[in-house]
Amino acid sequence: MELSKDITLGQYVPRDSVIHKLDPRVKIILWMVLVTALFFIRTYTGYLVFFIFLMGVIHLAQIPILYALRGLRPAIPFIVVLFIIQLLFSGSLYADSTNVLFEWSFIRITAEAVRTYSLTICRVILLFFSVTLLTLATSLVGLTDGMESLMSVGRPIGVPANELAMVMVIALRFVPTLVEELERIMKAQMARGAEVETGNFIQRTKQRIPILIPLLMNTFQRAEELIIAMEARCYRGGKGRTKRKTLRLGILDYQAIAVTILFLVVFFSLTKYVIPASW
Amino acid sequence: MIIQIENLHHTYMEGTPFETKVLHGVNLEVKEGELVAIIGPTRSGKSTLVQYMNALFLPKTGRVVIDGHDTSKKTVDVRKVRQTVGLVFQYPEHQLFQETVGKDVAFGPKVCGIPKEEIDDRVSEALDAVGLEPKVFKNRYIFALSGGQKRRAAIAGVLALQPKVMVFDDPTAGLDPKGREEILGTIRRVHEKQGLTVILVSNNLEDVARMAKRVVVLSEGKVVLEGSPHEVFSKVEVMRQIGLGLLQTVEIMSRLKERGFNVPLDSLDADETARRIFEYKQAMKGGSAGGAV
Repeated sequence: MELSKDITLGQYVPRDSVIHKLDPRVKIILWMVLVTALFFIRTYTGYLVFFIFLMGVIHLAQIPILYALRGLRPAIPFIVVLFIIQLLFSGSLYADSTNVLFEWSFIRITAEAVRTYSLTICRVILLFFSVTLLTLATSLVGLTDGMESLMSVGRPIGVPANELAMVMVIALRFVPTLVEELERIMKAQMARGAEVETGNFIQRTKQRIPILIPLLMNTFQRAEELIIAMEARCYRGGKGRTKRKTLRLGILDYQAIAVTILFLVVFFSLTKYVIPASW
Repeated sequence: MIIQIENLHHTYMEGTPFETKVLHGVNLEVKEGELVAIIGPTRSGKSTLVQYMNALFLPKTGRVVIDGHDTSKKTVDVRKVRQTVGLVFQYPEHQLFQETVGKDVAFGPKVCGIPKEEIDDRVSEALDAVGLEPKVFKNRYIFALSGGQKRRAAIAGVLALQPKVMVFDDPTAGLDPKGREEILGTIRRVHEKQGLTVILVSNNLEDVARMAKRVVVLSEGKVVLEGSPHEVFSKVEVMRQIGLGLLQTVEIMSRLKERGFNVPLDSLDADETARRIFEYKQAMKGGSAGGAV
């Protein structure tokens, strides 16, 4: 039993790559641009090309592609269930479709629905993939600094930039820790004869109790310890704090921006003029 | 042979950038009724090894046979193995989740399908064994216990499964001297009175010297030394080199030896040390034994 193997979200893989060296602000903004672009893709080919592009970036970041993909594994059941439910209960949305693949009572599966939801799934997967990419190749400190610096634009209107960044980073930072803790508690209860993942829905829910209660208690305790540790270091938010390392854009960052823009321009002109809309 | 481990390898986070090898071909045998200690510096693979004894990990290379159940076979009944070997993790008090001590101790037997009347007996027995008076503690709230009591309650939770083997992973970590004594007393009682096989994993050489009949030293995923406490603790060079350090008393003896007094190194407690130094002095006086200087 080893849970932590499958969790890539919130993990950081330290490497000395071009991607790691980028200014975190640039990474965050480019990431947002790419994610936004994802919502404008309407073809399978488009997603495929996008996917390959992301893989290229992961390769540049010197992260094993299989490892990055592994993070998807725990999400697969959700994705599949989501897909099936959408497919089954959305017949009415395509009421005038002539392309009915399957029909039984209220269930009506049309070719259009299959296409729409397959594309949605592709989008979800790529979204997930791009988040993983950002956190795998950006250190926690980088991520906080970047977020804080970007959000401080809103400081005049009262956005607590430092605090928000801190909250986000703590949340991300504790994903692996909590997974480790969860694994420990699960093992301890399994050693006492507890079953995990057997029986019907009610039994399964009951089986969660001996795991969730200690996990919650330990999490609260951890939070309290963290508060004390922060207070002991006189944390008072971002007021008056200076940085040891100020962020500054370098040639690499401009190159990254240029490459991304170039990719998006080429990509969207291709999808518009070259690739047929039905692919 | 109740536990038989052959050529066991283990790699954490296999196939990820965080891959680390922790066990490199461990061989270990434990006889029924023994009290064996496994010691080793941090990251030597102790905690990983004990998880194999309880089928929480199943071997990919090598073989682990627990009381006749070969856990490397696909057909192995994992629950049987877990009922044979009770594993007490580090900081076991973190696994307590019911509101009262009695209910928490009853959790294990309950999920294993033991009839209700028998569960009550088992709970009392287990609480007795860890030195928590059942009448007093059964209905006590978990949060009203001290740290040491919580830990003993958690141990009772494992004992209530009535295993043949008890594995304790660093049972005295973070306890005060009194709490430590109580836990060690519990372990000794379980071993002597109930005749259970005990595997004690520890970093505390003093505890091990007092408790164990046989000591296995693990370093970097391999068994490097094995034998009686006297044999193992007197291997001064090895113990220093792997970073475990020496038992205080052995340290005293080895320093005496460095200054030219030819005393035996394998002395495990204050009494033994005092006696040996005294005997050495007597021998020197009589001039019969030939010590240096």
